[in-house]
Amino acid sequence: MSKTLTDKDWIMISAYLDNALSHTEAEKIKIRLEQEPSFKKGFDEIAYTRRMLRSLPQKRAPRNFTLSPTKTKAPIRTPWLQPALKYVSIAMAVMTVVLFVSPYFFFGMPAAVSQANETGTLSMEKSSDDTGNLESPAIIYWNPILGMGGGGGTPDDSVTFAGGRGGGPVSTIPITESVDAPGETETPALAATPLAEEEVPSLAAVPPTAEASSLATPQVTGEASTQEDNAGDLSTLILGLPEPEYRGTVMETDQASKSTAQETLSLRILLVFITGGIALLSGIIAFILRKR
Amino acid sequence: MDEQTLINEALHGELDAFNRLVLAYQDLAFNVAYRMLGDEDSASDAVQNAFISAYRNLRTYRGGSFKAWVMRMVTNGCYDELRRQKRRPTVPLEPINPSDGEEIDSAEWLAADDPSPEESLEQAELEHALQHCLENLPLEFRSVVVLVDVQGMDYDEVSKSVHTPLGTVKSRLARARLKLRDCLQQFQELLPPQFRLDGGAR
Repeated sequence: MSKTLTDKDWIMISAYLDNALSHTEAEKIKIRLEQEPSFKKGFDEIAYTRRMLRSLPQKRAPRNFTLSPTKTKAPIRTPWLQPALKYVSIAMAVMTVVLFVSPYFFFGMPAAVSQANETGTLSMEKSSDDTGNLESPAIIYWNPILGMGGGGGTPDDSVTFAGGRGGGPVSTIPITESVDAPGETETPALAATPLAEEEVPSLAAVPPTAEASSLATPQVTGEASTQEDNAGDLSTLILGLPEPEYRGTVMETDQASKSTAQETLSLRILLVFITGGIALLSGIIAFILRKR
Repeated sequence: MDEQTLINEALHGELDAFNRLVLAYQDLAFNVAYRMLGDEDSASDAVQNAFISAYRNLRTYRGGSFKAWVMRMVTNGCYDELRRQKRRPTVPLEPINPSDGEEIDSAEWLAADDPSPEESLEQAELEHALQHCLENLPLEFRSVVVLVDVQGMDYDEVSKSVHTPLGTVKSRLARARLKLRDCLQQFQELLPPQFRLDGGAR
């Protein structure tokens, strides 16, 4: 029955209960209450609801809310501070990560470390050259013919099978043995492969002795074309080949460049720590400000 | 000292004068806040913030009903408190015994101070049902019905308190009462006979 009443009817009933209608409007309501049962029922329901609400007990304030001089002071409002610190923290965190991973990401290893290692290697080569020592580091060749599997090796020092990266055997050619006792050097079967010999030019940085030259030169010249063909295939290298323009030359270096590399490394680490610290500190302050 | 004199003194920075106004309105303010928020602690926070805000913004008072102006601060404080609760919802814990600082694990704290347990229970059920229905109302309806039906304020004061035209107040009040009627009908079986619509309360 109450569905027949319109919104305006409900507003009129509500206002009538609160004596908020004019005399004319109140008279109209009285007439409808006498003539329309549905209107009377709606009126009773709203009156009951109103009576229930007015029956709610009045609560006393649990304490006095009087103000003290400290409470009335307006707080220093810095609404920009928390968001600003939050963004600073995020930016510093990103910068820290970028500083930390960029050398690995772009160059495969920290540039400064790489440079330092290279400097050290070249210094050793130069030192060996100066003293006339014929001992050179063993050159390890990746032998793609024997393929994958690798592991183990022969008892012979001249042929070694090495594992690593799931790879196949490699051959190691100790240069000193080939120079001092060419007859005793067991030419490995693996050495017959073109790839095993094409690494010889990498030794060009070390000036060979006359005997060594006589033995090594034919191999170098004989396989020169093969080396050139495979020059672009760096995947077969372990120790790597120097760039063509540097082959056969002795690279000069000095302690200054090494120390510069170390300084660069130290500076980068310092920056990582500084940006990381700022990110952490600003993040903590922003968190505290947000919780307030 | 009359209200206007206290207001004038408060406008000149007399905190004591303002505190006397606070004492005059704090029960009313607390009741409004409690009925709107349904929690004593939240209501206390809202009222305290409302009075602080009132003191700081006293110069915006342009005359008229000071009660309506204070209630406007209180309702705004309740809106802020509800928004804050919405952002950071909390789960109420049982009260802590102030003497030993431990949680009271019995239901003793639920007991009211009324002499008769039956009356207390009936009153508590009624109040619970009403409070539940009030909290289910939209906020703008709730503020109007609390000010008019619970606190007995007239339409003009409510209109100024909630900063809404008089016609809107009437409309909101009628719709709020209808919603409350529908809600209370769900509790008819639980309410004492004298509080039922078809019982002795009519």
